[in-house]
Amino acid sequence: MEREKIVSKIEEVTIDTLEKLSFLFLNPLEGEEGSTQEGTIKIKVDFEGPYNGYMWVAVPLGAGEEIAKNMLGMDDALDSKEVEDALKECANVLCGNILPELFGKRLIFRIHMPTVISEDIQGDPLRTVVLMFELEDGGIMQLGFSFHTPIEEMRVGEGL
Amino acid sequence: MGFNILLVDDSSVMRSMIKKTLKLSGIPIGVLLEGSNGKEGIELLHSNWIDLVITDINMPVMDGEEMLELMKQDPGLKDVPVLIVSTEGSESRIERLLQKGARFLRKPFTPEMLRDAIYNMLGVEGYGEGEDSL
Repeated sequence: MEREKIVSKIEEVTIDTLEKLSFLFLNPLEGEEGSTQEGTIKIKVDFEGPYNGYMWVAVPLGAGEEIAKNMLGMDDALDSKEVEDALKECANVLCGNILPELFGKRLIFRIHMPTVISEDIQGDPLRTVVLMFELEDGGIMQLGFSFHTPIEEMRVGEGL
Repeated sequence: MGFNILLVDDSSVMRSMIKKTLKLSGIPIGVLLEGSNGKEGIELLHSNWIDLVITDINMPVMDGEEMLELMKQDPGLKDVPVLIVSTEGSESRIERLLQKGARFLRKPFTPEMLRDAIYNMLGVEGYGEGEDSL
């Protein structure tokens, strides 16, 4: 499977999903050389199916709260648990929409409950894709997929 | 006079999101009840007049598919429309749910997508922009 096609499809689905979910408009950044800033919240989602692996999303805390407020339709400040829960749901929806687009809608993936993680993820470059998006406030959101299978050995779905 | 809607999802975040989207859609809502799994949904259906059920699939205790099956076996509930909202990506599972009489809307969705799905299920015709034309 071509890495460029995977990146392009993940980018497309991520932008569309977050626009619908939280009225958030993302600007994709070229390459994978960006890095997330201090004070980010990171959510990881494991998945099993024809291909196994995990997805993660990292957003600055302030942007995370904005995403959560938009998702919930609330103007008041949220506590950290509410922000985490909203971002977990957001990650779940992202993963659930991206996998069928990558590998085809006839395949079944089991998506695990998202979890908040504190460590940085350094996936094997042969099995990992990382995308960076600029947020409206100038912050950077990172989204990545790490597969057990090397990307070049994976088979294309009908969505690609 | 609005529609009485039962919302079944184990995620309080997703229930809040759907409530927000329902409000933005302009659909007139009478009573909006909430359950966190299919078992609670069935109990609420037995004790309230509900025009439409909006439910997730994957939930603890009783999932949305089992709730749908129980509703179809119950003469008092079998005609209540069920809209399944989920990130489910498997075409085969979605097809199975459609054959059991549900409609399906993939998350995420816009207020317009939700409004169109609900009005279509409830047979509301001639609506334009939100509730003004109802």
